[in-house]
Amino acid sequence: MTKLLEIDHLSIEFASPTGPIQVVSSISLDLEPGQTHGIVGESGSGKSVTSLSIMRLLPKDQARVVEGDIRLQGQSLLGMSESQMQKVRGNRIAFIFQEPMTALNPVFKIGRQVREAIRQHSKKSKRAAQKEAIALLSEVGISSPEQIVNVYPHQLSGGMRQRVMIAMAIASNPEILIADEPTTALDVTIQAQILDLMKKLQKERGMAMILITHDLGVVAEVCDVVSVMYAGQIVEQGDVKTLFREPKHPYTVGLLNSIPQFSGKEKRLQAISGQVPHPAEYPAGCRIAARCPSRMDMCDNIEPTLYELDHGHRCKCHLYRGDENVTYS
Amino acid sequence: MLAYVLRRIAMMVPSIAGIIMITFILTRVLPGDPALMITGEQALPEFVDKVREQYGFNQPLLVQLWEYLKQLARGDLGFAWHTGHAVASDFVSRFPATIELTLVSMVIALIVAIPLGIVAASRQNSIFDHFARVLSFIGSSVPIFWLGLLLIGLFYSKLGWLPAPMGRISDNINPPTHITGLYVLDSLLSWDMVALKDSLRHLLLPALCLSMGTMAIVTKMIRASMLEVIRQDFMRTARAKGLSERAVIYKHGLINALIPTLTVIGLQFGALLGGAVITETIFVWPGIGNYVTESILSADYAPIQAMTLISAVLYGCINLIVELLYGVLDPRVRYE
Repeated sequence: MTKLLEIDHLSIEFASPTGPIQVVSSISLDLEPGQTHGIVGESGSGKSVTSLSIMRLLPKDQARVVEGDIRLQGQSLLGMSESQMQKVRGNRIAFIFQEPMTALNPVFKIGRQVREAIRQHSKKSKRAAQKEAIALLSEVGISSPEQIVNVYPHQLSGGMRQRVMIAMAIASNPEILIADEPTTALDVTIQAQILDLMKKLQKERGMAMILITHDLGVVAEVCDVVSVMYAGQIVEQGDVKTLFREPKHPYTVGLLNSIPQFSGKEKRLQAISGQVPHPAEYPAGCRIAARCPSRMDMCDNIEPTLYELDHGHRCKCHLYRGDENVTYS
Repeated sequence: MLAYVLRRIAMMVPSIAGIIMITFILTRVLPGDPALMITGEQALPEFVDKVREQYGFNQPLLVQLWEYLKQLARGDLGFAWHTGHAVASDFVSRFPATIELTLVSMVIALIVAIPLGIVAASRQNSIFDHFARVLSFIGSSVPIFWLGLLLIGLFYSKLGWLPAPMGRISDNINPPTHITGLYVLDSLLSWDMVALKDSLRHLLLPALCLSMGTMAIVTKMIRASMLEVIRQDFMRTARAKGLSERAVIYKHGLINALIPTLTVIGLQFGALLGGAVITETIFVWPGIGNYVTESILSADYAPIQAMTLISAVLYGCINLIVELLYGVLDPRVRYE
């Protein structure tokens, strides 16, 4: 069976004055219909770059895919012409961005911007599109959509604008919705509402979703499968229950320990020491070694592979290598 | 909105009062004896004195200023002795020539500058971008008098494609029926193809010459603001909807890039309406710029003062219109 979306050993380089820098290294992930895949990581771990590369929205003059492929139902997105790709964007794969405050065009009314999303991939009249825009806005929980179509983005709150963004994203009934930190810029109370809305819409419309976030709480609540990214690589991947119950990678363990717990005794939060290295300064061995509490001698020089544990649970750490699959590189 | 407009107009009053004072004083301080200019160098001293007395040039400066203000208050702009007409009627007969020249040069400048600026920004560092940069560099640094003479030398003297740079229409062709005073428009309205063709041929070189500066600055502005707009999040949203790059740039980008450029266009327009002195002089264009030059050369105070005042008022009005246009383009602008 072909997967809905398949990212296959994808590596992306960015141009820099000192030569190309690899910011995403050999990432693989699969997405099944209706599934929600979370990508978690600190800022600079390459999660946004990965998501933008699926839509081929990275700046062409700066970013280059150097290895791997992205396939939508078996068809390579990277091999598509620009006009074929335009038929995918917004139509089969839709995107919700992090910053609702700046993601809408300030000089056009909401109605026009939603209509545009509708009419781009269907031959509807302006009037029909306007009607549908109002229906979509009400579907995303906007209470007086007839009025909202006639206002400008700056007249709406962040949460309202993110609802508008969601309405535009689902306008053409996409198979996949990619949401890049959709709630990060919002108030906590609004965050929960937006997540609930996205979950509801996903269920009703049977969309698959890729949710990019740095918030493990969000992942636990929404996702089926999760990939933990660090320094441009996936360090652990598996279904949410397994990963939260039995985190294998020291980095994932560290992430989980840094979440405040409300049950049990008061404990000091454990922070992961150090910082994500700059892509130009990735070490030869394991990229987390310098920050890892379980560091071994080999970690500095030998890069671990993504070891298969069980049921699709993978972990990129020497702690889990079987003796037979050590690779010296 | 109306209150805003009224307040803005009220705010123009002090600056215009200042301009009246400064021009008055500057014209008096400049060398040149107007009485001598009126009578001619060879006139008898008694006659010169008589003229001086008649025009009040012998009065103390403050008295002259007071007389001038009283005259302005009556709505009288004074008398231009070097033409023998009231300044107001000179202005009315010459202003359409300047408007026509300004409008056509603005149109030429914008037709070139807007697409060029957009292409330069959307294909940064391409051949178009380099061309735009070279053009705006040349346009802003070439002296108009040199360019004007060069154009005349090539298209009139050498190639003979265009008529002699003398005015708005050839002597042997009747100007079109007076409707607006703009020859091109009037000849279109009265369907006078002979006048249309001839006036366009006269208009081409001065308009081209005058457009260079505006073209250069608008190209630069559009390029710069488009480069900024292209990186905005909403442009990425538009691409993510599946819009073509062309639609993204022209539908979503252009309006946003035009907002800051509007200021520059307005300022240029206001400055040109005040009379393109050099261009009008080179091409003997019977507009305001030419009139001001003649007035200065003849030390004719009244038209100099009047034209400065009118330019200042026009400039202020155009600035106000630009600000109101902001509100049309950008819904975030509120007038309070």
